[in-house]
Amino acid sequence: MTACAGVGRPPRIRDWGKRCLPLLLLVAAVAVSLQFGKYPVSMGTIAAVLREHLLGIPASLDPVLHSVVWNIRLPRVLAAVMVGAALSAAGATFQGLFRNPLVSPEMLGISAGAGLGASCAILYGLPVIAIQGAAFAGGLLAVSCAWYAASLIKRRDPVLMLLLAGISLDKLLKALSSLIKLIADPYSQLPTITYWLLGGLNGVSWNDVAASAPALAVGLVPLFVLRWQMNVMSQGEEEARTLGVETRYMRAALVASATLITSASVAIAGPIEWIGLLIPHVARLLVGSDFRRLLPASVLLGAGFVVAMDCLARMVGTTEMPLGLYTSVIGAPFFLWLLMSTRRGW
Amino acid sequence: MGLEVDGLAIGYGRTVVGRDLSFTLAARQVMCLLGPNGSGKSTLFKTILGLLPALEGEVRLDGERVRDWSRRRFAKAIAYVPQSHRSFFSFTALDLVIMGRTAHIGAFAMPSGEDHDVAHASLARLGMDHLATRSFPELSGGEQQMVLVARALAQEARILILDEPTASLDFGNRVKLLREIRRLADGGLGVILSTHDPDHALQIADQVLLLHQGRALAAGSPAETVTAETLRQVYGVDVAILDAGAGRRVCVSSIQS
Repeated sequence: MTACAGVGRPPRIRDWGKRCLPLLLLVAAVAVSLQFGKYPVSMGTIAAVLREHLLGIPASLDPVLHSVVWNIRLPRVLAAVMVGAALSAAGATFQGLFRNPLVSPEMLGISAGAGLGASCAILYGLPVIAIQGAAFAGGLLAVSCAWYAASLIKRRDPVLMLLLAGISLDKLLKALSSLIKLIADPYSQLPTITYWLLGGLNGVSWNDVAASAPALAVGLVPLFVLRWQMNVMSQGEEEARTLGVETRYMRAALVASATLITSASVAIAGPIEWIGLLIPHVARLLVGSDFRRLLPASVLLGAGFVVAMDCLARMVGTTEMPLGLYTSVIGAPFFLWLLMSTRRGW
Repeated sequence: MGLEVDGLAIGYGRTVVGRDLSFTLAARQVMCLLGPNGSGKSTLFKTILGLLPALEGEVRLDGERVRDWSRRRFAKAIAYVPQSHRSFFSFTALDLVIMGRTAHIGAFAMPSGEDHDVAHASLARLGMDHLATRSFPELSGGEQQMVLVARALAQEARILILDEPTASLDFGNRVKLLREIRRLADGGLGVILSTHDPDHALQIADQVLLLHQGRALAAGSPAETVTAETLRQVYGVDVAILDAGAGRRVCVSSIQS
């Protein structure tokens, strides 16, 4: 299923253009990102490397160049695609579910929980794979706590309660993270924690991609399959129920899926702000609020955006700046410009 | 047969808002729920719709208790038109009406061409098909209400429940909506609506439930229930019920005390 899938009335040419734009942007971003970096690589070389690894046709290439393409650049671009797709899909889901365009995956405490998990792992001097595992577990645990806290509050709007519980938990977990920074060794651990919390994709390997890919797939598939139910859920708890949706289970399935992919993304790249808030808005301007089109468009746009930002992060300056810095520095003004230049409602 | 509400006690948790509420609604009947703000109209609707648990009593449809029905089965039998619909996300009128098909669509499926046809037909039945591609938030209040009614029609339910459907409409749209509601009932639906205007009950209702402090002060035909006496008791104002000829009675209020 791509963003080009037609839904509803026959689209006009302009609509088709808008629907296909996210896919074109992603393809362009990937093509550029693969070629540029400290070592410029031609598309021919990339194709030769791919041929060797995927089809078994040996390529006679400079081993350094070969290694740059296969061991560094390809996993990194793929990780960027995954992170962008995951955060945007989760953002679109949470915004629809909470019927609020200001909600982002950070708000339910996922990122804060993952950050705290990672900080703890760094504090105990654990290896990288354990840091990612701790981040993943922290994110899932945070949402579970928010979910449980919300379920204790009876006879109020359950959706609003979950959001408020998540926001409270987010603050609590961030405070705990600050505490960990205070007790961390200021020369070895503190810089690592701070750098991890800024978010980035440097040093991403095939192992990282492989470790997070299953969780990403397991989370994305339900979101795609339940696109129509998501539309109905965005009409509010009571209306969705009168329209025939078992909202309790549907909400649990959607939140669990979105949390899973957000945690998977944080485990690879650390918490990266803005993607989950910004990208669904841009996608909505292009294809509208219908989740059948919004989800694929968000996934493609988000993937393209993170690939492009990561490419910038690699290329600008002599030392690499964290990816999270670029998404915020470019994302925030872009978002403001978007709000000022568009008049339509969401 | 039809919808039976039997000895219902309604409320939130331990707070009882109303009790001893009973009525039966058959197909082709319109029932008007009258009562001042806070008399329990919305709570009664939410309880019938299964959005709130009944504190006592039960709701039956064609003799069967609906309490254990799945939401899907319930939505195919009883459709609901909320008082207002607010959303931050803009859908087209048609997309919104197609949402009425959700109970007929598999959880993992997307609406089919047939669902589109039913949605179009529902809009057309109310003379609103020309609005299909318009964005819902950009429609007027009257048009929005009609689209919500079309969404309920797309559910293909037997019972239609409307929560103060005329509340935000201008005079002309009120009359048009009441006419449509009467037509839908004549076409075979059982309809319950709440309203603030006793005159609506006199115009379209087959039966009236007059709610006062959570109890049924009067229930039965409009002639029996909507009287100067009962209205004074419920609303605390003086009204006169006048004969406008051709069997049509009207409710006239007076500001003199």
